[in-house]
Amino acid sequence: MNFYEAEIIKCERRIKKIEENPDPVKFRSNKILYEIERDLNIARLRDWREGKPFIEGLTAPLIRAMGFEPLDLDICADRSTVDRSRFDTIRALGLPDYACDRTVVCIDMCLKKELPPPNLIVSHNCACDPIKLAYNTVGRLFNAPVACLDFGLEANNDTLRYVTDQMGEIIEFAQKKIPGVKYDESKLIELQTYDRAAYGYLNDIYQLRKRVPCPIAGRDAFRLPLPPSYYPDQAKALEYFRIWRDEMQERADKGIGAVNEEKLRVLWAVSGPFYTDPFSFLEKRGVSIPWFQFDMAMRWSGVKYPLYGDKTEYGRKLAPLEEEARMMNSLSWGGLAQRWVEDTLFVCRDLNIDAIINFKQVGCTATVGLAKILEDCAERELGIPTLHFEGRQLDPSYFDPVQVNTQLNVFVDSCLRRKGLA
Amino acid sequence: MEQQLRGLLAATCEANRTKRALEWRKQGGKVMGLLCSYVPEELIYAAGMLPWHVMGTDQANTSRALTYRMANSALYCNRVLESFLAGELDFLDGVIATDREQDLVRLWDVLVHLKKTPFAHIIHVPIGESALGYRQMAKEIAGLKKSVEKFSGTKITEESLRQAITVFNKMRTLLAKLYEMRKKEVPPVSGAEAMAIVAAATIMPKDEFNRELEALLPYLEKRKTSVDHVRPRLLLSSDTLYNPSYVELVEQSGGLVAMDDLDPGSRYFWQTVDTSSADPVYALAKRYLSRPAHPRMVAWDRQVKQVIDWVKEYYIDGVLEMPEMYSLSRQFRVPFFQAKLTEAGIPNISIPRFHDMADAGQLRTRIEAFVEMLQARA
Repeated sequence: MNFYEAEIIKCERRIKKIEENPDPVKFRSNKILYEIERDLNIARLRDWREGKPFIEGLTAPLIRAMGFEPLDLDICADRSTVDRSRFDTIRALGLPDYACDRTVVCIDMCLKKELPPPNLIVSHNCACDPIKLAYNTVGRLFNAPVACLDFGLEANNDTLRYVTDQMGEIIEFAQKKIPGVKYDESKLIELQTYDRAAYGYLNDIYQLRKRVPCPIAGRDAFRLPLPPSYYPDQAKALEYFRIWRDEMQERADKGIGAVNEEKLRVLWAVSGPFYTDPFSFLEKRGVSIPWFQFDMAMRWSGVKYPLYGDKTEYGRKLAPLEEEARMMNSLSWGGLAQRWVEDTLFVCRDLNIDAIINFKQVGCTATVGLAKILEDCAERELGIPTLHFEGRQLDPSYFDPVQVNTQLNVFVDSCLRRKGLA
Repeated sequence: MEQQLRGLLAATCEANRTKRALEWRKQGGKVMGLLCSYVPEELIYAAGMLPWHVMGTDQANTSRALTYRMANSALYCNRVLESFLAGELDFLDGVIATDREQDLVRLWDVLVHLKKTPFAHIIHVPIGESALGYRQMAKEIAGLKKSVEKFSGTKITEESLRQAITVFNKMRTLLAKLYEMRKKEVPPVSGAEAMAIVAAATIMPKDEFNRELEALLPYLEKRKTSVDHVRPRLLLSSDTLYNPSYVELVEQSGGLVAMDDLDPGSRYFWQTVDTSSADPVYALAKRYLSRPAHPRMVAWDRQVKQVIDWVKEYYIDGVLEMPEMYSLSRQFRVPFFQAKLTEAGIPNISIPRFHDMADAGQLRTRIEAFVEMLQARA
């Protein structure tokens, strides 16, 4: 069974469960989310069978405006189940199995034909080295053309132009190399309009996270809903965002939170152990997790980084292709330490955060080397502590729940003492 | 002359490494630590400072560095940070890095966070070679130029930059002559010696290095390597390999390293800067981006092609790749590199290594097996 088939079954199962036995604690909008996810996988399965071209490495609006279907290698890996045999394949090839697991697992998924072979790969460095290298590897393994999209260390008008120019070259390259590819700017504008509206809802949700008690549960803070442009039915996807926002509003207005008596507000950074639930444990101790900080988190929610159509960030209105360059040009994981640290502290201030849990994702070249800097700056500038714990996002073999719960318990005790609540 | 050669070969051993830099400082000069061979050193020279490549400790213990970094991150960065935190590099006036790898950027971030040097600058090196990439690299170099001028108080004029390029091109030409001699059936230097000479170039004042190597070349023409076997001839491919003991180990295991794909090796000096270009900054950008590349560059096919060309030119029997553990760029490239070399009929093996020779026993066994396999083919 390939990845799309497995996802369709998973979504159907979840939809049925919600219909038959809805959980009053969970969002009602989850049903629509699973429906759009199911439909996305049905569409991808059809496109694969019909031989439609797949691409990795550009933004979804641009990919669709070019007539491609997005592969989303790392996002598919996020949703996959991992058994150790995936790493055996990686090792057998000579690839580094200690690299960030979500970036190597997707290579195994491609090799096992769980995902379609790429027709074009864009190897980029906007977020991290493992992504750039994994994409390049997948391209080479499948003899797909590999283009490169290079980002500077700073986001400014000069780098924006540089990225936009490269995107223009990639479009030309794709149109020459891949039959059926034709860039349609009006399609791009249409998709940007959908995504902008969804990001607006995410911004509303972000504002609601400021409420005490925080109306969102930790596991929901971790949810990564994709923007409408990823889905075949963009209008329905946008509707999901609206309903989700309304539900959050309703909860906030009624004073419903994931934690009854909120004692601590913790920002969770980088990634987390997807195979376990540390959030319920924290919630029992009165800890809410209003925000999960990762590379796209702030841009997608219009926090600090403006949305499509904004004229302030670069001092002018941007052309449609520049808008896509903007989306990739200042991810929190790219660039220098300053960007990740300042972005994270910005959210900590804004959401009145008491502490940071920094998941040291093994092999994450973007953030592991910044853990101590983040800790030092958070303590110095905001007087808040940071707990680091090491693990892998998909591979549970590094994870010892007893150890982690002990660490979390001790950390919560220490934070409560700091707040005079112990 | 042999004594003079021995002096050059010993320039980068851990005990001697800082000697010339400290002398330079004694005379009132500034020393700029470079963390990557993509930094256009010509600018530092033109500003009257000593460009000095930071190699980091050869010791196994990097416990100080692990406060900031994980043990399973790029070992070069761990050992450089260890040297900084141990105070071994306190003499540096500044440090310049690139984003060759994100781990290196994070090392630079820590050095800035800890304010380890009065001056710190980082440049972005495009991951692709194209007209757009050259232009972007030229902008980065122009930014570095301004920054260096401000710190050194010396204006880098077009004339001084062209002069620096001439000196560096001379170094590259001299090293190319040395490498040309490695094509001989019995080369004048072993692989370990060749690497030590190139490494010396990365830390010595360039004029002094040029004088010494120029004087040595006629002697080297006649010299024969002391390695007691000349076959099989190997090409060694790796990054940030500054510890010559690894190359010695390969040569003690029965092979002769007749060519390399190393940054303290061929990649450091291959290709001169075009002096006829109207814009020396653009010429530098072009040279640094189009020289034989580190695996961080996306065009892996061109990198393999370069190695295949060297295999033919240097009569190589097999390619030995030794990725440093936790060096992601090279390790991700391994399957592609091996497949393409195999397709070209070139025997090859990839054996990961550490930096402190703790893995010598294991390596020796695997290298010997590879050498035996090559001998059996001959």
